[in-house]
Amino acid sequence: MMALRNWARAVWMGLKTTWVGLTITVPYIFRRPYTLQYPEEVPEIPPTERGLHVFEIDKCIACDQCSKICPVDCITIEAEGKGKTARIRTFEIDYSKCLFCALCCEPCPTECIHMGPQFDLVGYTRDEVIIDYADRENPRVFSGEEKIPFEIVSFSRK
Amino acid sequence: MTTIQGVKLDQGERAAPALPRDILTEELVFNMGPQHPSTHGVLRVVLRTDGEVVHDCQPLVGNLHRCCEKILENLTYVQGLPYVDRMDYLGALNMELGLVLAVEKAAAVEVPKRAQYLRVIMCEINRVISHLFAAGQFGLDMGAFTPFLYMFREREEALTLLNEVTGGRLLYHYIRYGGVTRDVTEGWLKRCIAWCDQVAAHMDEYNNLLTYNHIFLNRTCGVAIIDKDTALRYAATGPILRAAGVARDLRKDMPYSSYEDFDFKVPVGPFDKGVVGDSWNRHRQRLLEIEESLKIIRQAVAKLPAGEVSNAKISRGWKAPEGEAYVASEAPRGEISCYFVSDGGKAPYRARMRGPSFYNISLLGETSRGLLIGDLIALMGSIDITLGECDR
Amino acid sequence: MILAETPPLSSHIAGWLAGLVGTEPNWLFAAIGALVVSAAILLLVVTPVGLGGVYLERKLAGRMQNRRGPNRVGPYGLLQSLADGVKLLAKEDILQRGADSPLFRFAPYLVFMAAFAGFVVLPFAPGVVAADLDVGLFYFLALIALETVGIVMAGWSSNNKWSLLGAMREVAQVVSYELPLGLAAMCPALAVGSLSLVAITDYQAGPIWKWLLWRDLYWAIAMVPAFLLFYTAGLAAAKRAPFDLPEAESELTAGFHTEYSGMRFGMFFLPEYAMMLSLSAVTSVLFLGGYHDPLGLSAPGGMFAGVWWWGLIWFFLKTTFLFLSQIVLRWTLPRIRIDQVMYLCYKVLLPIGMGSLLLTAALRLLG
Repeated sequence: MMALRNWARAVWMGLKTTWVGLTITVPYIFRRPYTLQYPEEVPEIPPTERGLHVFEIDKCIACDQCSKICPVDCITIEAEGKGKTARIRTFEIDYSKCLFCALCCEPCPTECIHMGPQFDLVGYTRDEVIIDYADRENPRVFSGEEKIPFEIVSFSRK
Repeated sequence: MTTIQGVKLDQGERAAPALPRDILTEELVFNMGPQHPSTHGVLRVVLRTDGEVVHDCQPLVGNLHRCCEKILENLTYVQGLPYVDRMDYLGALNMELGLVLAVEKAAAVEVPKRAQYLRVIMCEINRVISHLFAAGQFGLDMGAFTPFLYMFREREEALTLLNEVTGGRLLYHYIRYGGVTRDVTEGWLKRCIAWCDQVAAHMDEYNNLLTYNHIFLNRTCGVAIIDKDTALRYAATGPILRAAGVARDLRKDMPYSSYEDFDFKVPVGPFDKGVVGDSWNRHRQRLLEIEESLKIIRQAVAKLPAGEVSNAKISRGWKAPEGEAYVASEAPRGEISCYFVSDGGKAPYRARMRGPSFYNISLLGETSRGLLIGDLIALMGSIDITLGECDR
Repeated sequence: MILAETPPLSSHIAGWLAGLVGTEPNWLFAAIGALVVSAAILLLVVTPVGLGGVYLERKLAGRMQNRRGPNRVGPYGLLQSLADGVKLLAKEDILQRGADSPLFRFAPYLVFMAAFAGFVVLPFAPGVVAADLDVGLFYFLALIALETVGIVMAGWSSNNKWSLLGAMREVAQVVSYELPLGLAAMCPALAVGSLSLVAITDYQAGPIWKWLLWRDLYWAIAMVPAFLLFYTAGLAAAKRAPFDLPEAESELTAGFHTEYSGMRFGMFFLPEYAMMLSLSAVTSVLFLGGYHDPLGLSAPGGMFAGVWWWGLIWFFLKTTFLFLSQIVLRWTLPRIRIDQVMYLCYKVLLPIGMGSLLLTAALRLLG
């Protein structure tokens, strides 16, 4: 008798919890979807986003600090001269290596490199994700207008 | 000894089953993973089964080995920090905290109270979304797709919150030596509380849809029991150990980063269904821990003191004093301990991270014997491994 | 669709072909004609229905999960299934080393045939039925079993252990659900006294309380359990969650069709939806009055008696409702374990089935 009761309870619980599950999932059919239609609807990127770099070439003094602190050595700088008169020939960032850790932004004495809002970069080859920010013929600037309004506490400027 | 792709399998002492001679019976050797959908990354498990019944199971880790510890030994302390994020990518903030605590201990840096509270808030948000992910993933392994995406909705909101403060959505690089990178705004704190309310409001949904579903209960209750003894023997930590009935939570036992200021409980199995240490209890443990974490977040937001958020003493050229430092902390998957030895140089002489997943996954061999393949999935799902941290 | 009363289209085609060649129509032309007609039906009617099923499932699953579902190809993503079909056709057909080539290649056709042949006996509307077999219900149940053969074939010939496990699970499942499925199907057959689906449908002519599910209300005590039983066992027969064990993707990667690619995979994919549809259709015929509307307008003497489009509308409404319920269930429930499937079928469904069969017999004797 006990076994029969347990059996009946199991059947009842199976039906009941199925019904409870349906009462949760079915109303969602009539609700607005949560997802964004990505290429058309762009998610709101906060100004703090650590996306692809924004590089202000005129400020750069080719001091190599960013390239030195980079944990993966993805920044290559070639320049003629040093200091304010430096002329940057290449400022390459290899995004196939980059960690997006923003360590490069912190020691910069002139604050010429920031993390920008752009988060996607695609290419058919690995070479296509190496970006030369000093390429004057073919400038690759990602939203250079925007500055980061938030103050970053710098740990590495010493 | 059978060898499959270079792995030797111990045949054990099982007697050959008494069957008529003309029936050819063999044990099947399965190579489960690294591409199997339920191995949560690149875990490879070699199974020896009799049909559906698992006789032996051998997890083979290392497919995601990236020499994290060796890299830490070759970089300065400041440079090494973003790498730690990549170990347990689902609980990145907790991993950062592990290394940061150890380095701060060696440097004897005083961390401002506000920074400590911010660390707690962020780590707990990270723990909640990690547990949500684990619970959802477990449901997915059990064939329930929908709760997974409901949990992802809350995770998405949390990622947006974290993104605003830390700048990253998965890998944050937020907790630094001596503090945190960025302060939060009042509006952010309000939205953080609103998010807590949202998660709390949806807990019933998850429970009714998944946790207390009759099929789910049948699939997980009493399945793949990891008892107290086994869990302790294998040095399992985190929700697995607590679901097995051991109240060990480093946030309570060895408080760090001001966890002693907060009032929260450590849920310990067994819970209302199943037996202690079974798959269901591990799942329930995670959901209950989410609720506790939400409590901590609310308290931390309410009590958040004013002041600086960093005490930036450790710069990029910092040399650790000669000696060693060890700090253990509680990550979503268990204890993450960081140990490093310094010879006074810019980089640690030896760095070692003890990741919980590596120890938890070693339970797979002993616990899986006699399970069906479906149950093995339940076991692997409820252990909740992150291969990034297991293989390091 | 062939209308039963009109001379079969195939004989027209046979005659036309014979005229082309210049001989009398004989059995060869009749056979060719029949093949042409059935291929046309398959291509023009059944495949779009299957593709529509795939679309519905994906859309509904999306909405249930807070997503949008397919919405890129065509308006509201309506052409997504078609695009996927074209994609599958264009994909490489991989035959991996060690596979049993003839069996591996034949298995998808067998599954495809078995799933789509079920449509032959479905009474879509008054007079719209390809073949009103006297043993229509039996034929249908037999075809479900035939599909299993194809699946076991696929699992075995793939030379993949996961596929083999999937095939084993399918066999374990088929011997479990066949019994309750048969028992549940016997209840309406016993009540009506016929295995012909048309006869069963027409027995339920009249207003909603004439449907077998709750015929004259007191039949409900036997028929409601039988209905639930048929529905549940039907889920298992169509390999739908929570009974999708043979292909359980989180356990067996994809079970029996792990190794299939391109259109051969499509040949497994489409029949699943065809099976769901035909099972929903048979469920609606057995318990929900088939093509009869709830007001009794299609009953003899009613306003729409014998009107085929009216019947078609109601048939598709009922079938679609059951089909949607299967989808909704799939995206709500977790998967059952294989031993629990057997437990459920033998220890839960079978006693209920026997009980309702006994009750049906008793009601038939008394009433």
